[in-house]
Amino acid sequence: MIIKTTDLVKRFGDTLAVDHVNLGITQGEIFGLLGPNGAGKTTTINMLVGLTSPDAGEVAIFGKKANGHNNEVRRNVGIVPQELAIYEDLTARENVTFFARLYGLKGEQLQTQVSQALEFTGLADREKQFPKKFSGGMKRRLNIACAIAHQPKLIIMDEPTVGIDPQSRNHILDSVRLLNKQGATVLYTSHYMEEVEELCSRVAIMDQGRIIAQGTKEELKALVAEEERIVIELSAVNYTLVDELKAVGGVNEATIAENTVTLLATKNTVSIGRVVDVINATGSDVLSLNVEKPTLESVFLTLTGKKLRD
Amino acid sequence: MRQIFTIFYYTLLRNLRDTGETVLQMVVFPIVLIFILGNALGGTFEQPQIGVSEIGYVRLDQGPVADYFEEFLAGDEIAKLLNVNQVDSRQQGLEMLEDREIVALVELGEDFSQRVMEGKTSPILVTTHPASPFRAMVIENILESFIQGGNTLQALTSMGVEQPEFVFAGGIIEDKSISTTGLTPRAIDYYGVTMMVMMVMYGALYATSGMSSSYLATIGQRIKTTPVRAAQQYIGLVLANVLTVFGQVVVIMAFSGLVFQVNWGDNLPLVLLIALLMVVLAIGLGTMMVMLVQDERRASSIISTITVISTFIAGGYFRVNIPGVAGLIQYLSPNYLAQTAIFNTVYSGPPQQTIIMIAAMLGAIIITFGIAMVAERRAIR
Repeated sequence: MIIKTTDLVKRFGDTLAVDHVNLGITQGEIFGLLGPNGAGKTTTINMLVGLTSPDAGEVAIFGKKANGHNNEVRRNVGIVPQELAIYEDLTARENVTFFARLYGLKGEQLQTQVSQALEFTGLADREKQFPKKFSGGMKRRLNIACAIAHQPKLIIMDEPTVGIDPQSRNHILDSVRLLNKQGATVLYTSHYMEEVEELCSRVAIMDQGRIIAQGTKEELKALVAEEERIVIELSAVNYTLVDELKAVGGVNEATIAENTVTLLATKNTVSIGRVVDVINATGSDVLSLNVEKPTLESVFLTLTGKKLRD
Repeated sequence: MRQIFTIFYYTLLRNLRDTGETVLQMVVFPIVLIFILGNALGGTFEQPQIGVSEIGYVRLDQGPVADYFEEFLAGDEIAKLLNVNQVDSRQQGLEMLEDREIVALVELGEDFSQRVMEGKTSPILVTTHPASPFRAMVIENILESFIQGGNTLQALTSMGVEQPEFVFAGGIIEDKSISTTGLTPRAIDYYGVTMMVMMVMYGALYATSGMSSSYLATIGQRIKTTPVRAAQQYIGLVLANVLTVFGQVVVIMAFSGLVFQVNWGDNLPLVLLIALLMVVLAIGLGTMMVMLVQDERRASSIISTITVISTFIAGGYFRVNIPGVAGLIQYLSPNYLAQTAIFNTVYSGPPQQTIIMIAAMLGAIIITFGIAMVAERRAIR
């Protein structure tokens, strides 16, 4: 295990920010910590990196207890904080060099790895510029460069794509995949379900300080995959259609909104051909038909009763 | 050590790059103030002409030391300041004093010379009129220089120097000149010191800003996740801020000394040391404040208010005289400690007072940094 937390608890006054969190992250994976704002993700990360002391529970990183100051552990961890943590009055290269020096790099190795980090994040041609001239996406990338120049074995990224354009976001997601391919284990927190879905092999869903589900994406989806949604767009709607569709085997519910019919059906029990036949018999044509599989969003919705972005 | 240097170097680099508003406030503003106040308020710092003081002199001793004393009083330099009126008796002298014909009565007792030669205490009796305290002070200083000359003579004799040449006129008095030139500050000298010290107090804002961004805020938190200990981070930041403000002090002193001829005295190393202590104290104050309130804006507001009050109490804007016990409040003003120590150094004030002020500054430095460290540890994490 690269990261292992055991019954981690943190209170702020009367608020239970982190409630007996147990996480296990293995070497070489991209692990997603998914949850809405205020779920306790950042507090959990702060406890992992020693910025916040847990009220109870234990953290082990690289098999060593992470309480207190442990240089050996810290040298192998890179942190990308949620808020930008770069100096606006140092150039991009100076920012990366500053943090790389703090991680112990020096001499030629320092220069080489700083250059690599800037190259990796697409900022090599801007290395002499001050971040105040950068776009939000470029600042985010510099925020990442500062965390990877020392080539850590574990990279912890806390909402690294908040508030940036799609192009920069894609660049960052590609970077995370590449870092992982190069051997880094990544803990990636986000409230963007799509990012976690796209990047991560395993996911923990967090809400109100608790881990409400944890496993591979497939395992999580299996938790709520008793039903599937079939959304059909029609050329015209006959109001007797609802009753006729409900009579099809496996269909539990049918609703119509304008020209779209939505069926809720027991998973893998409905014959799509039979549904199309019923529709055609009413004189209507099927313009599109989509069988929606469960997503992490629907998992979260099912488990908490609310949407991720609430 | 490398970690401390890294934090020190990059913080210093950032401070030096902050050339706009900060340089205007920390360097240009004090220089302009020195120039304006030094010239506009010059009149209030001009010393009155001493002129010649009338004194009565009763000589009851006929010995050789009394001859020396008369020779001393008859010297050219003394004649510019004192007009000596021979008086037959103490009673007559007191009557003249009462009638304000003279401002002081100087009296040598019958056995004055005898006691001096025997190495015994032999006072010169001086009676002054309470209505002329300033002139009385001048006369006492003149007589003091005679006594010091005599003491030197005795010391040389006791060390085995045979027949030392004891010349009262000229030399000794020149050494103990009572001329005010160079011994009391002109307005430009006064404001050179007070505005420099005020600027140093505003230097505390470097600490509130630097500690807030690089220690408490996101970047500070990020640095704490690196293999850098909190103490290393703390020391690097403090050293950089101290050096930045001290550099500004040197610029102000050099500019004001060269362009405005502000008198920084002959003992520049000690003046610089006092200024450096003041810088460390100001950075300690700023660090303490930001650690206590954990908010840069609030800490900066408090520091700005303290600076104004402290400068006022210390007489930084204009000289203030707080009488009696209330005057002790001045010792709470960092400006007062530094100003007094610098003025004492430049204008040959009592060295003990300089030492007391330096000790007080050292104590305040320990207290401010101590409180800052305790507050940092107690902050909710």
